[in-house]
Amino acid sequence: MKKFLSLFMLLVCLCCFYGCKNEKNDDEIVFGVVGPFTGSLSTYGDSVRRGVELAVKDLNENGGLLGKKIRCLMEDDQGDSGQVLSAYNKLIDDVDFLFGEVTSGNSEILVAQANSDKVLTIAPCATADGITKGREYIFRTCFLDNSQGKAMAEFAKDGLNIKKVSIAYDEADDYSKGVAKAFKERATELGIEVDFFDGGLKAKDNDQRASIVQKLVDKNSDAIFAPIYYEDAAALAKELRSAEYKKPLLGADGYDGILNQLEGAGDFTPANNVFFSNHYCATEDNIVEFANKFNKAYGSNPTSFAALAYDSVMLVAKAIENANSIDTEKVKEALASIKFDGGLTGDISFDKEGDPIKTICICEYVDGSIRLKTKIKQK
Amino acid sequence: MSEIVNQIIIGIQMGSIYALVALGYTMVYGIIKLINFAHGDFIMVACFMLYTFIIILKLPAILGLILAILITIIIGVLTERVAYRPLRKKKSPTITALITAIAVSLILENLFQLLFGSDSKMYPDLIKQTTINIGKISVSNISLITIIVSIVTMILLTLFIKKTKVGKAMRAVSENSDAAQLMGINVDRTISITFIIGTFLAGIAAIMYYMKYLKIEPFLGSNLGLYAFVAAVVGGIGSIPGACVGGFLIGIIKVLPNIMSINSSYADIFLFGLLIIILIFKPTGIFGKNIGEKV
Repeated sequence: MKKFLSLFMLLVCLCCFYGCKNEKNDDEIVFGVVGPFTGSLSTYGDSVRRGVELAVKDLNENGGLLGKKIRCLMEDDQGDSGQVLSAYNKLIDDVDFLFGEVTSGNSEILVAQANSDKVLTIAPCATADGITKGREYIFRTCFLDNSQGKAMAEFAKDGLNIKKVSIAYDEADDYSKGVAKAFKERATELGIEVDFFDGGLKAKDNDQRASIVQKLVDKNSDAIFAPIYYEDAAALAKELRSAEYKKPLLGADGYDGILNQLEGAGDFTPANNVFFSNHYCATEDNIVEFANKFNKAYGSNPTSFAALAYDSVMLVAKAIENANSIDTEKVKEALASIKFDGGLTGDISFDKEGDPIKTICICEYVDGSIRLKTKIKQK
Repeated sequence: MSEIVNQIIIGIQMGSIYALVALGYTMVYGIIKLINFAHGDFIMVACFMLYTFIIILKLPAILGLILAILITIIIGVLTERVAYRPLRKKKSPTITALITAIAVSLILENLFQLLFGSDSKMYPDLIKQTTINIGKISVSNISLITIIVSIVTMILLTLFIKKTKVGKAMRAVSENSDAAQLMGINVDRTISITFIIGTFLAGIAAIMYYMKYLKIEPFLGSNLGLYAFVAAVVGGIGSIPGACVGGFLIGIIKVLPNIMSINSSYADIFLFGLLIIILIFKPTGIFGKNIGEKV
């Protein structure tokens, strides 16, 4: 009798929980976002969240999609790999399309599950290899680490006519290492001589940097490629310029932010003749408009993560319109063959893995402002 | 060839900063047998004081330097009073004091992260960096200043300890603090003076660091402290010439991969490899004395 009673209670409980479930209306489309909105990665998570929110707001103001309004559901995973799947499980019954995660490691966890559940997912800013590989329901909006390295090598050859280059990177950082290796490979293919390849440029290790700067100055190659983050890159630029090295310094999207850093030093000249690859260039008209909108809504300037998230939503919106349906299979087909022009981060289409084929912006700093030097179509 | 000379100059310049920091470790250890893990963070504190006085409050540079050193000394002495002295009075085991030192280090790091934020700060040059070229050999004026200032400081410190009455008291306390007390030496005061000198050296090192590296962050002390600690151990902890030699040695080893033209991410492997080898063959360090256990 006791056993029967407890079984009965269990059944009642289950029914209750079932009743709690959010009933989804047929006249709306739900976009879910999983990301770190609290914790140490929250600046990135917030950028993505705001990019999505802004895009959804824009879509709704223009009448929604297929006559339906769009609703956003956000779920915080605190950037903790252990919480990614529980955040995903909370959302999954209610959403039609998913966006996330923010970092490569957590995205890997999220998309593996989403793909086996056949949930169409866009990773806005996961740059590591392999995220989309063999997963037909997964797409991403950002280019991969090694595309940047290749693009910069091509720019060094065609844009700057460099014959000999020195490369310094951070052996302990996957991003830095990946970009440096891709650059070296492509540069060698293009006939640029690499006369120095050193992984000792570790983040926040000022002493080792001093030694490498001296080495770079002594090598005196036509250019230096150092794909590191902006805090150390700003110091590197300043030290190189103080040591009378005035030739080009090249980097990747980690250089976005050097100017803020140099502002403290009160001198922007070290950033002159610095070139780097980025998702967009802040001077283009559509970016300026986006930045104004973003600033009005949130009181701060958008990062490239926000722009990528905005483009991710617009990509799905266009695919839904092309497919004239919100059926996952049909939207997936539409996304795979999409031609998305005029996005914030360039014109986007997808290769067969679901990685974007897009343009990479090469930006240049000139006396404290940023300029678009050229755009390179990646392959 | 000139490349090698240039690297050695950088190594000596780094080494002189390590040596100044290592002196702080070694003096405190010599006198109270405590490895003051917060010592590296005193340098961070001094750097942020420089930043506060010169950049935020816009005081004249000389005044800023003096105030920064003074405040660092006050923090150093306060640390000893508040955290270490009560433990010493209770004759608590060494490990307790060691853990307390780590706690002080973490408190300082996190406090400054709260006060100034975790991102690194850049600032205008204290002295404009110029390069002096002799043939193909190039020396920056900052390297030159750093090397000269630290060698002069080391000589003055040695004279102070050898020739003055306070120095004699310090040596006495270091040798046997109970006997020193019986001879009428004020042990507590001597220990406070040791902390004052140690943090003063940290302040000097901080000025050199601030001039050379153009950016500061709340966690800079942990790396610097680690290398300087290794320098003190390699030289023989408790020995003043040992700390100087150890510092320069570590500086040279840090640039060794670039001298040999191999990937400089090997630097730490060389460095800690040397530490292990020295500890195996001479556990007391290069200048350390072998003291037999008293029965």
